[in-house]
Amino acid sequence: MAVALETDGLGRRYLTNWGLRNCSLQVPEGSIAGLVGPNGAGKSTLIRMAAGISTPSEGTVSVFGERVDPNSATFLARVGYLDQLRPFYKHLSVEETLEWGARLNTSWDKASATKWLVDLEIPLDWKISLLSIGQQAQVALAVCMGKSSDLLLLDEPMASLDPLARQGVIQMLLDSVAEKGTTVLLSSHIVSELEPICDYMIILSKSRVQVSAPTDYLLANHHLLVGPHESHTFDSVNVISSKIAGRQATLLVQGDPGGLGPEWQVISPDLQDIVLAYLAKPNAEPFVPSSETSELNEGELS
Amino acid sequence: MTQITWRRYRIRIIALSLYVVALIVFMILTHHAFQDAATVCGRLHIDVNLGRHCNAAASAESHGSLVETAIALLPLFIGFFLGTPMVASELERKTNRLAWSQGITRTKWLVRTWLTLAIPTVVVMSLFALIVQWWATHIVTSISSGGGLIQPAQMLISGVAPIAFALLLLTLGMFIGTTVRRFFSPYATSVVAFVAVLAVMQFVLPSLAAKVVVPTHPFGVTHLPNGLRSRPWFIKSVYRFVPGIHVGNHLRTVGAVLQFCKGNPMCYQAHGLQIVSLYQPASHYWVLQWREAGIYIAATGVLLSLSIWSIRRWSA
Amino acid sequence: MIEFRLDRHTGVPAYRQIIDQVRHAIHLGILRPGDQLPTVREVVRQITINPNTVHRAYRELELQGLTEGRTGSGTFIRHSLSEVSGQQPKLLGQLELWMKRARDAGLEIEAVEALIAEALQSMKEEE
Repeated sequence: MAVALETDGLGRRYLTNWGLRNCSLQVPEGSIAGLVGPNGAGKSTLIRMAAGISTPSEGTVSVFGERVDPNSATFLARVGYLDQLRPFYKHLSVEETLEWGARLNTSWDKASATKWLVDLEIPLDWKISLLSIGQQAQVALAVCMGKSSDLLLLDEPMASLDPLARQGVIQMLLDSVAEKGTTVLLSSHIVSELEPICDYMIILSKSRVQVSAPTDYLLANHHLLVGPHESHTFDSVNVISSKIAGRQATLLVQGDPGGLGPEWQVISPDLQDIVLAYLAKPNAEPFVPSSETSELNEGELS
Repeated sequence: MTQITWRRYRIRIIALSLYVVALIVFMILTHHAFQDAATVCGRLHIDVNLGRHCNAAASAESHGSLVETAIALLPLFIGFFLGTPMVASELERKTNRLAWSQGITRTKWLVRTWLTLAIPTVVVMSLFALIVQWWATHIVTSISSGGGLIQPAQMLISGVAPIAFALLLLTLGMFIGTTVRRFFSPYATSVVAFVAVLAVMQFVLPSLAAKVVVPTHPFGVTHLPNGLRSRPWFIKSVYRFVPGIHVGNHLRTVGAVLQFCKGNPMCYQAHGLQIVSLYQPASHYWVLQWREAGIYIAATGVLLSLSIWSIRRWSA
Repeated sequence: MIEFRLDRHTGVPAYRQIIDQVRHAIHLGILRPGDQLPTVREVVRQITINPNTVHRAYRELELQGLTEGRTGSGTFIRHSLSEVSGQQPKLLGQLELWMKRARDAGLEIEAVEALIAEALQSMKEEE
């Protein structure tokens, strides 16, 4: 499996706080990886280090097999980055911003970037400072997409966008992956939006990785168990979260809950259930299968 | 980056250019006033003190100082309004995160930005230097600076050194913008740094060329050269033993003699002491100018390299 | 041409649903040998799905021998699923007859569905 982004014990410290600690993961090439976690969990820190905007305090981060070097022209040409703050040269117009992008990048698809904005009815001759937040977000995305990169690092690309616009962005990302084999890493707070499109999930909490696995593997190896809350002894499984309501317990478990009595209902969780469960329990055992394990088990998924 | 930099700074560049134009207009308009003042006073005053007796000369002198200060401030404005914001404002607004994730390397980004401002700086300052040269050699020297071009106040604003000085402050401001951000304001730091450079250079400048040493009154021989063009830059007077004289066993150092003689000139002479004047002659004007400019240009190169090094290591 | 639909609440993985829908279409004769499956890009435009998922489903279909990929052209149906496809109208008639008998016996639609589901389940377990 070719790896687009790999980190090994990656960490970043700001004076005494660790923004991210001991982060090890691998995002396969051509996949769409979702990054979720509460604010301050380290999502932006991770994305910034992958993009070369921040340098690690410890550990390594590599893109397409090479250590991230923010001063390498080849690295800069291959990686696209969307910052959470969406900074702009506010006095430039939309058109001028796209021109600037064209001049600074070797491969630039001005036509599709322009079309994207025209379709959204964003006036190209307006100064960026006059646009609404949602429109600015779209322009930021256009600049990112115009660059035709092999790896897209998007920090909350859907924030500030209305539902229709979000759908448009998702569609654009899917098209890019389908046509060019782009690898995408995007962070979002809306898990239900990520579920249909992400084939890889990363859950960060309190600056650490809780989950880093292919989505199918993640879903197949977690189950919701509903049953009477007195009768449970589970050895082979890891209880991630449990909710008690009266006599009924709902547990999210990791692993295969074989050998349960008929009083237990086994339900397939959706991604939201899993994410919420892990976020509620930061000390849960991390779910980070090695790439061999998760590939081998693909065949067992039906 | 060239276009963006130009767009962001064009108003400031135009404002500074207007400042320069205003000064030039003033200098041209007052050109005759200064000359008339000189004639009215009967002779070309070289001594500022004597000039005060003549009203026309006195008012011309104060106008002259005003203009000279305005000219001297120009490099500081360039450093403060163009140099410091170059990188500092990008870091403040985080637009560097956008710029440094496009296809251009940080080195190219910085050099292009710097060139976009450095070239107009050099061009404007060079044209201005020619005007100042004309103004200084024809008029001002007669009154406000008390003599020829080789005076500190004149050295500051005429010749080639100010061009290089402006370039240096531009680059110094940029460098400060790349490094100073967490605890201090880059703008405040720049002002301090610019003034420090000025102070240091005033100190260093007299030593850039070999000083001429001549014995002077009361018991020396030579008089300082005089005349409009040839008045030197008087640096200081010192006591020393007359060269070749045999120093007595009893009072071996200058300090000892001074203490012993307590201000009595005859006593000094008796003990072999003389007063000498150190000065830079007028002929050293261009030597000093080029060496000063050379120092500024070398420093500019160093600061540019340091700035590149600094942003290559920069991390959010 | 087939149009895919995804039901995200069934717990069945998306790639599995695609495979099932192709097989279903072949059964019903909607897709015949020689027909082309939509390209990955077209599927991605129809439904919000990860392209890799589509690739995976198509690969699986090829492994099952139901489709073949022709480089440069796309993915095509190879042959129909059952050689006895002629049996289908007869089988369909028999099924409808049975359903009528179940309704006459007083069974609600849901009970009929449950019976069919149970029979299918035991059939799958046997296979």
